[in-house]
Order: sequence, then structure tokens, then C-alpha cells
Amino acid sequence: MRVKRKTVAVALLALVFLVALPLALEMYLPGEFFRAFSTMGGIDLAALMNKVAVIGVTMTAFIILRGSVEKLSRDWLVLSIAYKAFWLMIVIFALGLGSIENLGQAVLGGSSDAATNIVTVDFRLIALLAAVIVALMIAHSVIVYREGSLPPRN
Amino acid sequence: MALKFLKGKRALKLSYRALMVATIIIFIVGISNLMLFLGGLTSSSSFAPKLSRDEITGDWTLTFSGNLMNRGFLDVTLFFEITILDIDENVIATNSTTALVRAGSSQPFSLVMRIPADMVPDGKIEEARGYFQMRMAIRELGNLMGLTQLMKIGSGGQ
Repeated sequence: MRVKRKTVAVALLALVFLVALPLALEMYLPGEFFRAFSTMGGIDLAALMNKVAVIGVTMTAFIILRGSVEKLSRDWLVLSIAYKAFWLMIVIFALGLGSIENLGQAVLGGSSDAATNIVTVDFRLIALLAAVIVALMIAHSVIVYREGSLPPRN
Repeated sequence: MALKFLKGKRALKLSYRALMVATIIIFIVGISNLMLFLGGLTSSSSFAPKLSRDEITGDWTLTFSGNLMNRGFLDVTLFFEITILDIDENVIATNSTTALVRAGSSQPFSLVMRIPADMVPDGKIEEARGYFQMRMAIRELGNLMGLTQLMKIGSGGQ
């Protein structure tokens, strides 16, 4: 398996920005900041940073794998489809402010004994459009793969 | 066969790229419009409540009225619901209204709620124990995008 220099550089960038940076922020920012954010905003910032780091590791793995397979091979098609599905997951993750299970709805705020204040921002239309885009991109990858596997025309 | 593939490939590439651009535009337009509407809502005194008492029956009337301003560029539908609950979370009074506010215009808005006198101990509403619940939904782009807020506050004396 031969990995190109460009692939390694892109993978390193993803690793720095999506893994090292969120984990460093989590380590160096004061705990009060995270607690205040969690109480007022209803977002567990520390958990969000960890999720971003997991996404970063997965993305780095995808970048390295994609850079090491031969274009238009069966592995390339499988990786291409998986990578696109992964991108859809990232979009839904971002729209839901870290909650994939909300499928494009960002829920902010929370409850205490005396008061409840929950704000839900509905981005499900964007999530749906992103799913359609990914489906079209996957179909495009399949066509490119099939076109590549056709015998050359005389 | 190869030509058919080529045409399909081009059409697909073009459609997902166009859809990508459209999605980004819809996202930016939707968010901006929502922010502009919320900005107009918070800067005006639309939700300033007015509490009054009928001296004959002793019933309390809570009125929310004002002028809803839509500074955005898309029509917005606002759903507003107020509920007063007792300490056991039984509904004492509730009312809701829906208003369609056209882009760049304003819409008069009013929500009146009656709280029966027997639900207020000794006629002192400020000492009555219970909850005030507000549910507000702002929808735009033909109800496809929006924001919902649920606020519940406990109130009253011992």
C-alpha cells in the first residue's frame, strides 16, 4: 500500500484541526467555562469536543484509505460511498449542534427546578436536502465506477 | 452505452452541485430571516404583558398585545401560546394565537387570557403558586424551517 505525500499532508491537517485542537481546548480551557455553557446553553461542550475528535480520527482514516486505493477499483467505490455517507453524518451532527439523533434539530437550553427554557431550531429541511445531495453523489460515484469498468471503445 | 453513462454522469454532477448551492442559499436566507425577525421581536415591546382585574367578578385578565414587526425578507408565521398552571401542573388558563407577518411589514397581535378569581387565593395573584408557560413557534419558508421556544417559570409565594 503506497500513500501519497499530499494524502499524508491532508490527513495531518485533519488530525491537527479536528483532533488535537478540540482536545487541547478541552484541556486548557477552565472547567467553569464548560460548566457555564452546559448550564445556560444546554450543550455539553466537553462531550462535543470529544465527538469532534472522534470525527477527526474517522476523517483522517478515510483520507489515508482513499489516498491509498487505486481509483475506480471496487475498494475505491466502497470507500467513496462510505465517505459520502460520513459527510452526511457530519452535516447532521453540525446542524444538531452535536446531536445526530435529533436529525437536523438543534436543541438549546435546559431545565432546572424553577424554570425551563428550551429553544429548538429546526434545520430538518437542510438535513433532507443534504441527504438527497449525498444520494446523488453516491449515484454519480457508481456511474463513474461502472464507466471505468467498461471495456474501452474501439 | 458509454455515451448514455456520460450523459447520466454529467446530469447527476450538475444536479447535485446545483442542489448544493441551493441548500447553502436556503440555509443562509433562512437563518438571516429568522435573526432579523427575532431582532424585531426583541427590540419592540410586542410581548409586554398587561395584568388587570375585573372589580366585579374578581377575575384576572392577562393581555399580551402589540405590533409584530417582520424586518426580514420572507413571510413568517408566529404561533404563540400562554398557559397558566397550578402547582400540580393542572391547566388554569390557556390561550393561543397564530399570526402571519408578511416580509417587511407589521401585524397587530393580541392574546387575552382570563384567570378565574377562585384560582387566585385571597385575590393576590402575586402570591399565587404555580407556573407560567409560554410556547412560541416561528416558522418560515412555508413551515419548512423555524424555531420553537418553550419557557416555563415557577412563581408565587409560600
